[in-house]
Amino acid sequence: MSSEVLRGIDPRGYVSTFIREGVYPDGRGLLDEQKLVFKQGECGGVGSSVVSTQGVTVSCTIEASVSLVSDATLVDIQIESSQQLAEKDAEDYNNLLLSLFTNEHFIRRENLRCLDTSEKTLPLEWQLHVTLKVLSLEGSLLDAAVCAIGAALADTKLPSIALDHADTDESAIEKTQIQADYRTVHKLSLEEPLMCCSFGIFVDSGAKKNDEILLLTPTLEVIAVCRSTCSVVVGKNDLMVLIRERGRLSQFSLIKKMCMITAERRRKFVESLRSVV
Amino acid sequence: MNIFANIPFMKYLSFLLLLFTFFVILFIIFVSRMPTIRSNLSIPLTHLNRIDDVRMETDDVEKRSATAFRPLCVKCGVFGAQDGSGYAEFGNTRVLAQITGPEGDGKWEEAYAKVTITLKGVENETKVAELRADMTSSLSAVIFVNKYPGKVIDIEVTVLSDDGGVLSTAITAVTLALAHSGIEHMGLTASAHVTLRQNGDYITDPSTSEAEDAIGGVTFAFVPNLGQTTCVNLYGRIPLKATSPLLEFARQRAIALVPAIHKAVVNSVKERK
Repeated sequence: MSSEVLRGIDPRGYVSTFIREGVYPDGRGLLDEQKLVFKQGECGGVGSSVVSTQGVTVSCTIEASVSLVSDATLVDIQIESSQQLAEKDAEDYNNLLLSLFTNEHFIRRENLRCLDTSEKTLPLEWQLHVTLKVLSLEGSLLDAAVCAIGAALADTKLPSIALDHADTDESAIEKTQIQADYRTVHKLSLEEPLMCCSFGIFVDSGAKKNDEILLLTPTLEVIAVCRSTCSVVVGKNDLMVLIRERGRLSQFSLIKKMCMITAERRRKFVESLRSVV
Repeated sequence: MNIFANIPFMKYLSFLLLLFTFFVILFIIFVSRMPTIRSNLSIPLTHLNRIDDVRMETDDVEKRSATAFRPLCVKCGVFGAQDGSGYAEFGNTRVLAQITGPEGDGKWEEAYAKVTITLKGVENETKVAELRADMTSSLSAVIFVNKYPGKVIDIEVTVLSDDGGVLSTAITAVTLALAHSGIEHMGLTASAHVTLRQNGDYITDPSTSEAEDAIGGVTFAFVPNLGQTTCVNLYGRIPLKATSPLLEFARQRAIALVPAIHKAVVNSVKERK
């Protein structure tokens, strides 16, 4: 029987043949990291990035607006659905990423105040509109999306604001009183970048021991036969920020291992991001 | 001294104190929950008046001659997983094209292939419709659709950023994706965007700011090996006498792009080997 036929009629059997040998069907080790490539400032807006990792390529563009100081949400995210990404999944990822902003894991709210040329805070705030475009999707979107947002925020440069409105003046600020001064630009004060890694838990029913096998960044073909999937987001000081688990998982020691792998990957990402900036 | 005489007053005072405390607590709860200020004022950064270092921009514009393109980057084959992909960048205009197919969708049963174009990254719906119509017409003219009966060729065009000349950039990206996909077609399409100034000067591949003082322009797509034109998108108020020289200038500029496109295709073949 040819391997392609086996792949079609028994995908689980096909995948488990490889996993028993400690590799994916493409020859990569089960816990081998895949290359993460990012490029900043290529997609317009005040900051942007393109990130490609594990068969997923995502572009992130940040647009900015000026608003009066209020307690309204300052960040909105839009993931554009495509042929490969269903609208419902896009909405799910959207809420997940928005929660990272709401909990100030990317940037603190006070760091979104508009500054003038002498770095004095003004009674105005920046609103950020984050747009994610999925250019290719052959793995976990969340991994690339989190890195893309981090890289785009690091690339964001905002102009100084010249406000022609006295502090003692109680009248409302008009649009004509606000000017963007591009001679002095400010970078955002960010929290340390986040890193997200997705894992699959595979159980080989044909083996004698029904052990749970941890798979790092499985492809869509392998995810389809996994018992559960887990996405781990790690932030500053290697603290867990978010864990999203789907399916059944019995060995909690695996979660610790996932966090350690993600933290290690985050350190590498932060180093390369700093070397670019 | 009769201290009991003050008792009703003390009761009254303590009642008032209790009531005051209650209202203070209510006020604190209310203040902590209510928004500080609610405002609908939200001005996009691009709508604000700018204070620029004008001198530097003028210097940059003067450096480029009327026949020179903005810095360009073309790539044939961006994603390994897709059937075909291409990328084109002219200045700050960047477009990515991906092709899926030809494959059957179970519905299309005609004796020729159906070419569909999905455009992403452009918000204005009218502009999307215009771009899609021009691109469909230009690409359908070069693909041998009769060789793929009952098949569908999906072309997804993503505009990553638009700073003028998006149609010509998109056509270049798609022609590179077509070359990468191996779909049989008549030849590579070279495309250029040219504008005309009031004084009769031409600007090749202008950015949005450079095209501000233009009276009109044209996006011209051309298949060099056939010597045939596949797209002419003329806009603005161009005098009739100036039209023919403008088209000829645009054709020359499109031909100037052919070596860059060929080089991208050859590099892609080398990478595959």
